[in-house]
Amino acid sequence: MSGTVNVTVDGKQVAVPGGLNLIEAARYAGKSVPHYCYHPRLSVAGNCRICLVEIQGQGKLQIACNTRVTEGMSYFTDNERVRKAREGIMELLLINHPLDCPICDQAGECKLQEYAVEHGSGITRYAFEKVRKPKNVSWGDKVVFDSERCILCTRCVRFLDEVAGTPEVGLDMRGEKCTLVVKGDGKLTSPYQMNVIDLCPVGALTSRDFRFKSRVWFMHFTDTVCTSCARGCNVTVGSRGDRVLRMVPRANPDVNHNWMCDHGRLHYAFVNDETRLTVPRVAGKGAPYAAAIARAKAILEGARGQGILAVASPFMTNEELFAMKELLDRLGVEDRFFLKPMGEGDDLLVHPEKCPNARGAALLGFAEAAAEWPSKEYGALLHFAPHEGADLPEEALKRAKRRILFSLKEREADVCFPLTTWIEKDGTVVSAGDRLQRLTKGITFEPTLVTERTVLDRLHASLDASHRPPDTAAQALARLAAALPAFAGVTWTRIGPLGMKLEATGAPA
Amino acid sequence: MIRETRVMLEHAGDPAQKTLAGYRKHGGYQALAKALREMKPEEVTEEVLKSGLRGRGGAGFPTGRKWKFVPKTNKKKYIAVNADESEPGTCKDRQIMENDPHQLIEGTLLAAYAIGAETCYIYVRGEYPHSIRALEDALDEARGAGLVGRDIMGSGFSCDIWVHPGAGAYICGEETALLTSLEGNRGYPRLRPPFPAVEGLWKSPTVVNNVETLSCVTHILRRGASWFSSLGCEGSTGTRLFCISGHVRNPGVYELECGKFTLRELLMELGGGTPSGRPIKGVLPGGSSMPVLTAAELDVRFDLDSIAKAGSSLGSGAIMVFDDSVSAVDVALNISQFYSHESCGQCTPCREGSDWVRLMLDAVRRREAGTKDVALLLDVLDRIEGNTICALAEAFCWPVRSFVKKFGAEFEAHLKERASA
Repeated sequence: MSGTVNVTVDGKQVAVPGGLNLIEAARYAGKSVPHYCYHPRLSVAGNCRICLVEIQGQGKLQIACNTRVTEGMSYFTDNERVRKAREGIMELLLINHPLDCPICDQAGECKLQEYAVEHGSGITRYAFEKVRKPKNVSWGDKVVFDSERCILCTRCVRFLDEVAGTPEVGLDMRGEKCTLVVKGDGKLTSPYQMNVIDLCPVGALTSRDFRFKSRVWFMHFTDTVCTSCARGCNVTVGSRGDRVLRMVPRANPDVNHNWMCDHGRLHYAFVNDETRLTVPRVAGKGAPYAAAIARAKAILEGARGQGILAVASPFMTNEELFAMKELLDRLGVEDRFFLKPMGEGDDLLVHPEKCPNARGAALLGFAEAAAEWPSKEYGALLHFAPHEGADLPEEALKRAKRRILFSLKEREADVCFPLTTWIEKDGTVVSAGDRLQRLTKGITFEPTLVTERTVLDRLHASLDASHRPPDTAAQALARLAAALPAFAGVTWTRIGPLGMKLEATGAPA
Repeated sequence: MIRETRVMLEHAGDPAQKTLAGYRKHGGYQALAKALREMKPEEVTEEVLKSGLRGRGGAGFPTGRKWKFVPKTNKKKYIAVNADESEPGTCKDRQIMENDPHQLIEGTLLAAYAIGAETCYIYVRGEYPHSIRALEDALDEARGAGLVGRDIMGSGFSCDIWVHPGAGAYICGEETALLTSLEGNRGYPRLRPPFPAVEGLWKSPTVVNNVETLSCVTHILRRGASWFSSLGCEGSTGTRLFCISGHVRNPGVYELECGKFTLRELLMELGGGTPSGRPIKGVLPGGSSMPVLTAAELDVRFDLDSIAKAGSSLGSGAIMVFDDSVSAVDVALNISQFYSHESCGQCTPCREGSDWVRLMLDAVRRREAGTKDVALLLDVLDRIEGNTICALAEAFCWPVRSFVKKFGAEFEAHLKERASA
């Protein structure tokens, strides 16, 4: 169905795209219809009944999720009859609910809490013992199930069936004893299973990783991008006290819809690692940044005659890569490489490139390192060690007399600068399909840390007093965009929270 | 004196009727032969439409109209015969299946021919092993005689029929849950739209008809729509099977023409009144899911529309009678126990509400409820009724509400304030 349809929502006339259901259409009139089981990316189940609306000319209330707009339709999302029915559904949903909000992880982001406030009566008239169902049920090492909290909306059932392609959750028993069960040995197997936690509108499915770590209202949330592979799933990182506590997908119809893989979601422990390098090391000893930069400058200047090997990392942002490029241009370095970690991909989201920005590194003039390293000897090595995957082989490291490394952990080198992780800085990456996306700073791991771009720029300025480094990532991006045709016309604002396609690269979508 | 008009049960007493030869002796499969040879599929539908036949499963929807909803596409189509006779008090379809199964097979084939289905399933209640056996035997014979299967009677029309036993859930008698169950899934009713006639079994157009309905089709095609509509009365044409149970002298299954007598006459003359001689207190005229009629309401004419006007329904044809020794609170509680046990649990109001209603009625029966609790009970019924995926919610809301309203004094007498006085 296409074209526009005129409908009246609570007396307000609006034109909406044809084929919309009444929940989506109501948004055009500024109305939100409460819903539990409905999810725009899943089939319609119609079981929670909280989205009942009154359609003019129809006797019974109808569920908004399973009704599509028709020309001239008028419906009410907020009249007395609808409100009364909604209040009734709210009450029924809660009669057997344990109301254990004080110890429930979902508290603060729970649709039962929200709708109870918005649509409930505030009291219960139920005077009997609540139904007892299985609690603290392990669905494997990632998901924990509480059947008493479950409202049986079947979002998890449908996600695993329709999106993940592993129909492994089903229903057991009938009526008020009805409960979810995992088929087979009772453990989930899907590499996307943790999405059911986000989908669960209540506290029935919780993350073993995040359980009891923090109340969500004490947390700080940052919209950014997952860096575990080249897909660049849009995510929201939850942190508290400058430590990452969880990552959940953020909807982006062009990248990851509403999902992300479990690997990416759980891949943040290296950020919180307390043994990370937080101050530069010069010849194995802690040193202030100024001293480390001075030493690096001396190494690079001394090696000019003997050649310099530059190895970037596909975990670097475009802005960092550009700062490195400017420095290498200044030094006249020709051998510029990066290491690309590869692994398994799948048909849904997981990309075989296990890094966020291999494409950016290539666009910025770095060559993917071949299996065989050139047999040349170098005066110095400037190397950003990848967060994961194979690092430079020993034979390559040994080709250089002096080594300047950037690393998460302390390594043997003449100068070793600390790396910062993706959640500690602003910047951009080029994800799969040449999609330019923004990383946003969410935490400061240690106040002493200086990000790589600043270190590179200070090193550059120490070699060339005329170097005027950009201040913010947005300014760095502007400079990059002006210099490289592939990024022509790109600005921080234009990229926006959902990213944009780099048209100039000519890559297929 | 009220007399039975036996059409579907005409030969039910003859053991030979179960066999193909016996069935043929009484005109069996002539309607099918005539339809396949002389009639277009649309003409079969027109004949059924003209007969005024309404579904015998409970909802009373005109059968011909249901068939007409099937889109004329090349998509595969199905007939699903609802033989999951589970409504408390109902035991009529088994009379057909166990005594005269071929009339159901013939009617099923006629319906299949009318809508263009080549596959039919008879979904039989799992607790009916005799019905399943009788149908299987009849199908074997019919298949052997070329009446079921490929190229039936050399007409070019092919159609197979399969018997599928249910597994004991009441909800699978709900037509969309029946389809979900047939597909091998948990018996959950489906959202409508789409209706089964447009999107049913495996997303194909499917007509779901009750056993008695399809048996009527056989007789309509055998003897003509005008003969059928001359029986009964307007709105309730033909004959209909009624299962009279409870406090009557002569319980049983009767085949009757509607509109010729009142409900009271039926119960007194055919039913023989109560065995105890005590007065009738109430009657559930259409299975346990329908509102109760009190002794004062029994002079209503006995047909679909008149009973509906009186605020109840003939439903699935199960007439349950109880005399004044029975407690209205007990009956309401019993009904609510059944439906809360059978609620599939899919949608919120019925899943949570059916059990709450049961608990409230139980509290009344135990004299632990107060005046406010009866008002609460009615209010909770209001929040449930009409807000669910299928009609199981109405199936307990309607009778329970009717008992509370019509026997209010009895509920009052059970309240704790009264009990302690």
